[in-house]
Amino acid sequence: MDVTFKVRRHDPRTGGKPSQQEYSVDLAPGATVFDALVQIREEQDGSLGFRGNCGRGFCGDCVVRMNGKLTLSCLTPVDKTVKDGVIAVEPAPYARQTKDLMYDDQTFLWDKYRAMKPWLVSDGAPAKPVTEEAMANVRTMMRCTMCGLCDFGCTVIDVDQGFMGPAALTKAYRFMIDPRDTATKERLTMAGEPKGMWDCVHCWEASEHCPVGIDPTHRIMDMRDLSVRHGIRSGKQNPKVARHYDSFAKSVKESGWLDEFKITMDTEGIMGSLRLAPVALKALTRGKVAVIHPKRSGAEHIKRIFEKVEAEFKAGQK
Amino acid sequence: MFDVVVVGGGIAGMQAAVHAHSKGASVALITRTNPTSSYSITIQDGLNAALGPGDSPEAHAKETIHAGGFLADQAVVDSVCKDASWVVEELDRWGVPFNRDGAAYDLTRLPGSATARGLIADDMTGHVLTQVLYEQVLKSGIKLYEEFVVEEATTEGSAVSGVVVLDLATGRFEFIGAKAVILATGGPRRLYEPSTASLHCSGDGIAFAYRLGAPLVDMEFVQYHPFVLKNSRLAVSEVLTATAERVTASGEPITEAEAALPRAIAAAIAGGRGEDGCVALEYTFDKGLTNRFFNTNQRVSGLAGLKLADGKLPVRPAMHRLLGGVAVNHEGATSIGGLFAVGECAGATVHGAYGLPGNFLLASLTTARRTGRAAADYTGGRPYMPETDRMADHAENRRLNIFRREGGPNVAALRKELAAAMHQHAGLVRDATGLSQASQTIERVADAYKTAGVTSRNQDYNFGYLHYLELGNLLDAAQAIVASAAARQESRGVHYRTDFPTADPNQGAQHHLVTLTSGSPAVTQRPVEMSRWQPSTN
Repeated sequence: MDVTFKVRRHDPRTGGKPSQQEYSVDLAPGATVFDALVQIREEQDGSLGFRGNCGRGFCGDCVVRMNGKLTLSCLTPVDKTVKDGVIAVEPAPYARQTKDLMYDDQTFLWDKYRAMKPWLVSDGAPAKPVTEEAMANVRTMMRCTMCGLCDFGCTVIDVDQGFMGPAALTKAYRFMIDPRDTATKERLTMAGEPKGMWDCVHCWEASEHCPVGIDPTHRIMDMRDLSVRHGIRSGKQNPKVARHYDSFAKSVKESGWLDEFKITMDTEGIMGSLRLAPVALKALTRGKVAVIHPKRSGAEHIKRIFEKVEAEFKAGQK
Repeated sequence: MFDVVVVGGGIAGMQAAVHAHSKGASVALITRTNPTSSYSITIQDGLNAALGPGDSPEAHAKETIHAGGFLADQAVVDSVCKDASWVVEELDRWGVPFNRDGAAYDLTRLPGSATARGLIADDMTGHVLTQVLYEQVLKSGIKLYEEFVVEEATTEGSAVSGVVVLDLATGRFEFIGAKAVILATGGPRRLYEPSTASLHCSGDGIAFAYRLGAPLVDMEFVQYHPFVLKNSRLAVSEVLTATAERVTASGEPITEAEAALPRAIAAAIAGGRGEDGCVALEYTFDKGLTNRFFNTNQRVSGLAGLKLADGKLPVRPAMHRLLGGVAVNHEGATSIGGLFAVGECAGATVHGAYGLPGNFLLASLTTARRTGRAAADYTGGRPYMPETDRMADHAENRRLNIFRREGGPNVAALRKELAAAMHQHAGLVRDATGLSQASQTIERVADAYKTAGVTSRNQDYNFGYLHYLELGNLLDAAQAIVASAAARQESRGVHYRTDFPTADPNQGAQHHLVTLTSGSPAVTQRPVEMSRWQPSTN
């Protein structure tokens, strides 16, 4: 099978501009895009930069964009991707490109991973009984190959490269749910710092991109639940989240409404709220928020639900 | 300058590094890829440990020695089987989530074993072990050289002095001094086609030691995996094939087992009984175990567009493991002072003539644990060799010379020619004529290699140059494999000679050692250590 690959080339070290290079290859049946790239590099052009070693979905190093689709090139068959005899190959988005299809994976992924204290911490005895059910959940988390697809899909990373991101947060969560790990509180505090789990906007892109079914968006929500259950409503340097959290609950409990202005005042203070005034005005003119929240009928029922849940929660904590 | 430099960041390398560090040594770990991307991550069988009711290390050792055609050194096997419980306890403490049945380990009876002693982490045991060992490497603060290629191990006098490395990202050479060097480079899978190789499986450590004059052992034993998915490098997990598997060619079952199974499948395909060069692997798929085979299912679907739940996969045998390697003693030491070897590049003589599924991870983890500690002990009180950039300059000049070559033979074409010949003549079935043809091919390729050029003269990320270096190392391993196979004029385990189709007890009592002598491989013998069981007594 003859296929033309149009590959984005770029070597920032030599100061050159990005360009596109065409390679034609005669491929064996069943070849994947990764196989094709290997063949090009081995037979035609040893300077072509891309990562990937295992060729079967375990190393997670070979993510590129192929005719628009962003995923592992080693599990992408050429015959299902080729259009009119051509496959365009481009690097993954957001991260700093280092050469051709390679990106600065240390800054984009691994520094954040290493910041999570990514090893089991134990004071000797397991925190909880070690059961198959618990181990099965840990194994699901450990399917992660650090391919980075969740971070490449992340809409928060799109605007803030400093966000810890779903890959690193999922790694932290892997230890939180391990009954043998005794540092859950420390981990929750760490993951609750600014640019941590509370910055997630649950857009579900991470879960849609994850090739191994870890469902990182859901796991970040689980992590927030776990955090609240441990009485940790934010990281040490991140008090806004706790204030936002309390004010949000108070507003709903007292009035049955979400009073955005009160919540903003409680969370941001006066100066912070003034800074956000333009946002508030825009929201007002578009009818996204209301100024006056009359007491809602049935609000007392909501209050009772709150009180019941709070009582159960307190009993559960003991 | 480090006390211990470990070459290769797979499971064996990381285990050795962590244990050398635990004994107080300063340790550097050099890896060609990310540490979580080595070949080790693809290992999908399991980790044998005699932990089940009624099982014992002795029973495990006996089974291992029988399966290996009595060619394994028995005291080594004995200690590997005994150390299993230590290693498992440690891995559990580090966070490996082995499958459990309630609170106890859920042991799988892997193919070739009469006993359930395979600990697994679903169908991704290698991937999970790699992650946990990497976590321990990070915790230890071991110095990592990622995307660095070791070009050569160096000696000063009769002892190792360090390694010359190439920084892939910048193309710069550097000399890293060390009192001890642990080779953990894995095996030369890319020497064969088809194989289960990852892109960079060139078994460099074997070539480094061989070129320094260290003997290699058991090099004739090249094990094929019977079930490698059509058009891919994916060996179907033994955890899956452990459950009522059946292999058929044109509907007829193939009943051979263990070492003879890949040969029988290849014969059926060669005899026209296959379909598209494959036979059918049939198995009972228990839907309750869907989670256990999540990875396999996803890979099978991505690579071949098939569903695991259909209970049938097209497979063919492919080269999987070299059972021999750099000859080492009980503590992983080679014949060269301060040079150690672990994992697949080491000839630890645990497997003999056939390796049982589940024993590879065990052998790597137990011997690397011992070796890491022994290497740290070796460095105690020893002075550092004087720092020198001489070796890095030498490597730089060599590359310059290669970059100057114009229009030489293509490295990829040479490797393909070599890999095809090795598969055909030094693979599943061998004879004197075929082995001599393989020898001729190796000579021809080695000659062409002397004038081979590279397609890029870039400094940074020049993978073409990396493949050039890898081919040089593969050629050394090829020489040793063929010489060793030619000298063994009998059939035993995975070494099958049509001109000597039966086992010869006299030859079976000897290992073959291959040593580079005046530019050629010289084969000598070393008695197999049989202190516990004799072949005749069973």
